[in-house]
Formats: sequence, structure tokens, C-alpha cells
Amino acid sequence: MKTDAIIIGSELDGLVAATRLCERGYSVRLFSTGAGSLHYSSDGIHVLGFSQATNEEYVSKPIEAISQLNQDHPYQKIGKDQAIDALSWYVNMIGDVHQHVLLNDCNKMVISPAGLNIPIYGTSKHQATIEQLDRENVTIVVFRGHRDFPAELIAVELGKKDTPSRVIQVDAPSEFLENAALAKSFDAMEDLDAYFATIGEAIPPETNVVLFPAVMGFSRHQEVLVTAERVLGMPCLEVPTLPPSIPGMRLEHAFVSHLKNNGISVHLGASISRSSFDENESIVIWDSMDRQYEASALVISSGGVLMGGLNVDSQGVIHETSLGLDTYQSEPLNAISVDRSLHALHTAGVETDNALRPKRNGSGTIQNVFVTGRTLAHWNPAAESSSEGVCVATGWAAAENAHQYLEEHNNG
Amino acid sequence: MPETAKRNSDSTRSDEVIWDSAAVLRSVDQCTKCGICHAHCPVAAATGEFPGPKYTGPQAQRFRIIGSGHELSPILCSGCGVCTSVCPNNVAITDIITLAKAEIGGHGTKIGIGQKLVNRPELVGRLSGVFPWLTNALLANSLVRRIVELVIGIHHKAPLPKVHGRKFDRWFADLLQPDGTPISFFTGCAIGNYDPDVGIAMVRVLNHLGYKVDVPTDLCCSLPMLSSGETDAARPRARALVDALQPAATANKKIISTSTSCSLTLRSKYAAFLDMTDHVSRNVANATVDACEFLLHRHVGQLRNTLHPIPLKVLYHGPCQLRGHQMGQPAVELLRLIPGINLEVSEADCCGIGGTYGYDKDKYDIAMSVGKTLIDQVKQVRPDVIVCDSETCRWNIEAQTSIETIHPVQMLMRALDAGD
Ligand code: SF4
Ligand code: SF4
Repeated sequence: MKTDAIIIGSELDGLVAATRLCERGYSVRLFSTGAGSLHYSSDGIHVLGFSQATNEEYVSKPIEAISQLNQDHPYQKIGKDQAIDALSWYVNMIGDVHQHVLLNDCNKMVISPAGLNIPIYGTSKHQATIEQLDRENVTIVVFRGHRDFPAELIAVELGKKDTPSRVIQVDAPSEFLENAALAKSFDAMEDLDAYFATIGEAIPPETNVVLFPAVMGFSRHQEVLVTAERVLGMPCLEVPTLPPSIPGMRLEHAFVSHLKNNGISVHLGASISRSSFDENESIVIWDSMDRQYEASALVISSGGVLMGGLNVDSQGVIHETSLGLDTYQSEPLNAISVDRSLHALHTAGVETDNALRPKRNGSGTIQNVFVTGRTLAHWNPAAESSSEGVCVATGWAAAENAHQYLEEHNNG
Repeated sequence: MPETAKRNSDSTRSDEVIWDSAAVLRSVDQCTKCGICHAHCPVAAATGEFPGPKYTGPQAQRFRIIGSGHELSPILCSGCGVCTSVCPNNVAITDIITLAKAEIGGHGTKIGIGQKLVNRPELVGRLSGVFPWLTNALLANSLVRRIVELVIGIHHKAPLPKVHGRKFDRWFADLLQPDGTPISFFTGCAIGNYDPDVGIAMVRVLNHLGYKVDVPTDLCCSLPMLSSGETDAARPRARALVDALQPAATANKKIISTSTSCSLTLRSKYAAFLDMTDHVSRNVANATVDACEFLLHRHVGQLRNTLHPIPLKVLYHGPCQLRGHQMGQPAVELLRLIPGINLEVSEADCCGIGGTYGYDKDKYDIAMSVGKTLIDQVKQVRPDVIVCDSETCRWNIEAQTSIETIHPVQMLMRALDAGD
């Protein structure tokens, strides 16, 4: 079974790489042990929120700040221009297959599920930002018994900005009070108008923006929120909940459907048991049931330690789990760091050249393997608040580099 | 650590990881409590009675280990496997729950007569196949079905298949075949008793590709027993089946199955639920292959050149057991080879029936609620034909939608025939 490319992992970067290669007309197969880390992510794009390279409290112009990052940071490897191309390609593509995302001139602040303010560069239509709430009178709606939405923390945070707000409790539309169950109940709801009319009665008259937990439907959320806005007569925005994140799941679902409809085979639940490759030759992988698949290029997007793309052995050494690629770590990972966000684990990962190509067993660079996203070393998604941006940029760059490789090697 | 094999290395594996029951239960420790499985479980979304895979799987298993007594939640799991397929940490959630079912059911001693009956499809098929017209007429009668529900607990609306006597056997006995590469066809209980046309299509496609087909046995794989916890009764039956298939495996023949669930049972569930990891069982497991997987991996070129156009709107629904194979949806790739086909792929995780799960009078409503996504999509797409690899799903989908629902190899056979 030979395809042009194989992608390992359904992280955002893997989905981006698969989509881009498919768009370029290549045959692609995607393997993933499970669903990806979009379950922990919103549908906006954090490009770069914090950096020690700038002297700001937070980064205001993330694209410009890219050039000040460490030379081995993934953004620096692919370069600012390619990062810009990747982001603009992404917002166009995702606007077609899922929903519109707006790239702002500079970072805005979104409210995190823990009630903190986090800089974000690209926002989806109904994603609440602090700027939008400035000088407004805000009502935060909580579904009675829904525990994954810390509304009080959000109210406290808004209070610090002198934005008046209050929390009201309304009856949940479903019997079960988990994020997914609530979202599905909005998908199935027959009379949205009547439901929001009832909520309207509980909303104090001075309100002019309503915040809902981001569970307002799974496949129908745009229709749900537009209806809410029409019935309540004011902007209705979503604030992320604790995981699993419904906006992230919507995004993953949209990607996977799009890929399947374009003829890409998605092997969910599959893991790679062994592989065989030589420099410049086609790659063979075997899945856990010993089926054999061959490809001319391979993209490794299997995530970090949380998603199983990397693991740490008892000696504190980090390993890449699919192919055993060479890795970087600043110190043994069993060391306890004073500042947890600076723990060496966060920046450990696979070492690559500027084309995102790794090495194995210290031998020469492998020409047809490309590594993306959280599997890469030298960046810190938690401390930088840069997760989606790096994933989109490296996923796109890996696809472009694979394309270049395939063009040079497929004409024979 | 992954092994990186040398080029041209021998294709047999020395490092094979076998998921026996101990390995399944050990995977509990890989759970990071991320909750992803729970967010995807169709049964947890349909009923508050079921606490969901994260709880019923790895979490409750810790208490089962210390013998904290049995709670009944595993019984409500349909075994659809969605949770296992989305778990990023390789926790064998569905298998953990299935092993717990066997404990709760006393390995069969505490399982009701209705479930025991649906657990023996080949027996039911044989008895009723003596007078198939009589059985079919009786089961079409709603009063009879009410009585069946009352006495043995099979819901009166559950989609029971039509009984076909031994149509496949008679057809196969008279068949003239090419003298090509020998290959074995494992028919399971469905082909002989309920689904002869799928068997006929499979043999014809294999003949077309030059194979000489033999049918070594018509024993049942006993998955219904295994997934409802009747392990004591399943054990000798599984052994008998493996023994019947051993000569084919020893002769290096592939053993083809048109049922995704039968092939999955042979390939991995005898190891997971019965600890059958001996050499003979592993040989048979490794020789067994799903029909679509086999065609896709070996015969894409040949099929592409011989399939004639079929200008129909087709909806493909991948059955639950396909997930356990971890191979994507090979049928989709095969169907796309048919020129002119207008193919839509199901968005639904599960048709609801869950093997024999939805037959139970207490679970039928949950099953119908789970299946709603698919039924809604059918209404919207309005396909001419629905294609699905698994027999109980086909019976269910056809009963719910009144649209002809066939196996992928039947569709391929039609495309091969279309030029004549
Ligand atoms: S097998 Fe299906 S029904 Fe059972 S827990 Fe997993 S997802 Fe839920
Ligand atoms: S998906 Fe896997 S790791 Fe996450 S809670 Fe479920 S069993 Fe645990």
C-alpha cells in the first residue's frame, strides 16, 4: 500500500499537513493512536503571547516578535515569511471547511477556563475577548450543575478591568451536565427561540453582552449563537470551559470530515509498531496489527508527552515514540525545576534542521521525514502561549517541504 | 521503543505484542484521566444510567482489582469501541469493560435465556432453517414478537434477520472454480444461515481475481458470547474453530472473512478474552484477514481495471468492529475505485445495534437513540443503496430505513457484473 505521504498523529499540525498535501494533489494516509490535543484547545490561534525576548508584559505584535526568538525556535527555523503564509492559508482554509477566524493586528486577550487573561492573535467569531467586553455590562450564564465552567473566576477577572458583570444560573437543556452532553443537547434542540426567550427573562435589563460556556452546540453552534443573539438582542459570546474543549472538538471533527471527504484515509486508534527507512528512500511502517504501509514522505505530528508522541524513560531521557528520532533536552528530566513553566520537559523534543528534518542514531539528516508541532524541541507552548500558531506554521511548512521533496524525487 | 527493521527483513514478527487479558488490564495504568473517551461515548450521551468509559473502564477497574464487589454499569456498554479508538494513551477501554461483563455474568452462569439464545446464532439458524418460510412468517407476526419479548426478552422491534436455509452451501457445492491460488473463506454463522448473498458475492469476487476458494468450516466465532460475558461456553467453541482453521493457516493460506466482527474476534479477541495465545491460535489469528483489507492491500490495480461504472448514490457506514481493526475504512477506498459512484461516508460513530446489544428489551431504546445520527443522515442524503461491512448493522439499518443495505463486496460484484 503506497501513498505519497503518511502523517502520524492527529494533532492540529498533522491535520494541517494532511490538508495541505491533499490540496496539492498528493495521496495521504493519516495514522493516530487516538483523538488529538485539540480536545484541550480553543478554536482561535495563539501565535505568541509571552516571550522573554521582548520587554513587554505580554507580546503585543506576535509576528514581529518572531524574529527576536531563539534561533532554534520552530518559528525561527521556518522563518517569519513562511509563518505569515501559513497563517493566512490557514484562516482561508478553515473559513471554508469550518468557520471564519479573524487575524487581528495585534494580540487581544481571551479569558481562559481558569479565568486568566491570555493573549491571542486569531479569534473565531463568537470567542469572547476582553476588548469586546470593555465598557459593557456583562451577564455570565451558567447551566445549573455544570461544573466545568468557573464563572465566578471570570467575574472576578472582569471586575479587575472595571467591567461590571454578574453570574446567573439557568436550567440546563440536558439531563447530563458534561460539556459534550450539553453541546449535543443544543444540536438536538427543536425550539431554540423558545429556549433563549426563557433565558432572556432571567437576564437583568442593564446587560448588553451575554457570555455562555463554550458548549453551545457541537455541529450547529453558529446557528445556536446567532439565534441567541437575535432573541436576546445583544452579542452572545462563548468562553472556554475546562477540557474536553467543545470548540477544539468541533475543529477536529471538521478537519477529519474534510479529509475523509477528500479521499484521505484516517486510521484512528492505530499505532506504529516498527518502521524501515533509509535516507532518500521510501519509508515503510507497520501498524500494531502488522499491516504494512509505504510512503515517499513522512510527517511526524504525534504530539508531546501528553499525547504520546514523546516519552521519558526512568533515567530522565526523552524519546520520540514512532521512529526513535534523535532528541534534544537541556537537562535530565527528573530534575525538579523551581519554576514549573520553565521545566526542561517543556522544551525537550525532536531536534531538526531548518527544513524540520530529523536525524536518527546520530547519522545524516533524513531527507523525507518532517517533524512538527509539540514533537519538536526548543519551544514552550505553555509559557509562550503559542500552541496553535506553531502547530499551524510547522504543519504547513512540513507539507511544503514534503512537496518540494516529492517533486524532486517522484519524476522517475 | 519502536523497532526499526532492516530492509527486506523477514515479514514474520519476533517482537509481536499480544494483548492478552493481563495486558488489557495493565493498560489501566496508562490512563491520564483526560476524559476524551467519555466525551465521545454514544451510550453515555444517550442514557444517564451509564457512567461512561472513563469511569466504567480504567477507573472502576481499580476497584474491581481489590474485589470491591460488582456494580452493573459494564452491562450497559454496547462494546462499540469508540472510546478505545479515541484514547490517546492506548488504554484498552472496551476490552476492560468486556472482561468486567464476564465477571458480572459469572462467565455465563448468570446470563438470561434470551441473551443465551442470541449468543447462539448458528443454533437458532439451524433450527429455524429447517422450515425457513415458517420461521420468517412467524417472526413477521407482531403478536409472536410480543410473546418472544415477554418470554425471552428480545425487543419486539429488534431487527431479526430473515432465515435462508442453506442457500450458500447448495450454491457453493455446485460451483466450478478456477484452478488458482488456494484461499480459505471463513463464512461464520451469518453466511450459511442468514446472509447467503454476501458469501456468494465474496466467492465470485475471489474467483474473478483467480483464487480457488475453500470453506473449511461453518462454525461460529462466538463473539456474541464473548461480548456479553458468556466466556465459559465460548472457550471450547473458540478452540474448536481454531482447530478447524489451523490446516488452512499451516498451509500458508489466507483466511478471508466478510464479517468485520468475526475476523476481529479471531485476530485479537480470543487472546484478550480467553487468553488463547498459543502457537496455533496465533497462526490462525495472523492468517485471518478482513475481506476489504485483503482486496485493498493485494488487488487495487486489478480491480481498478475491471470495475464497470455504477452511477448510484451510495452511503457507506463503517461498522463499530471496524474500529478495532485500526485500519481506517478500506471499503471506502475500494468503493471509490468504482467509476461513476456518488459516495457519501457516514458521519455516525455507531448505528446503535451494537452486535446483539440492541436486541435486549431493556436496551433497545438506548440503541435507537444512539443510531439517530445515522438515520438522520440517511434521510438527508437519500442514498440508492447503503453499504456496511457488518451483518447486524445491515439488518438494523435496512429495518430502520427501508433502503437496501449490502456488504462492500456485493457492491464490487455488481460493478464487475455491470459491463456484461
Ligand atoms: S465501547 Fe462504546 S458504549 Fe462502551 S464505553 Fe466505549 S464508547 Fe461507550
Ligand atoms: S481517553 Fe484514555 S487516557 Fe483519557 S480518560 Fe479515557 S481511558 Fe483515560
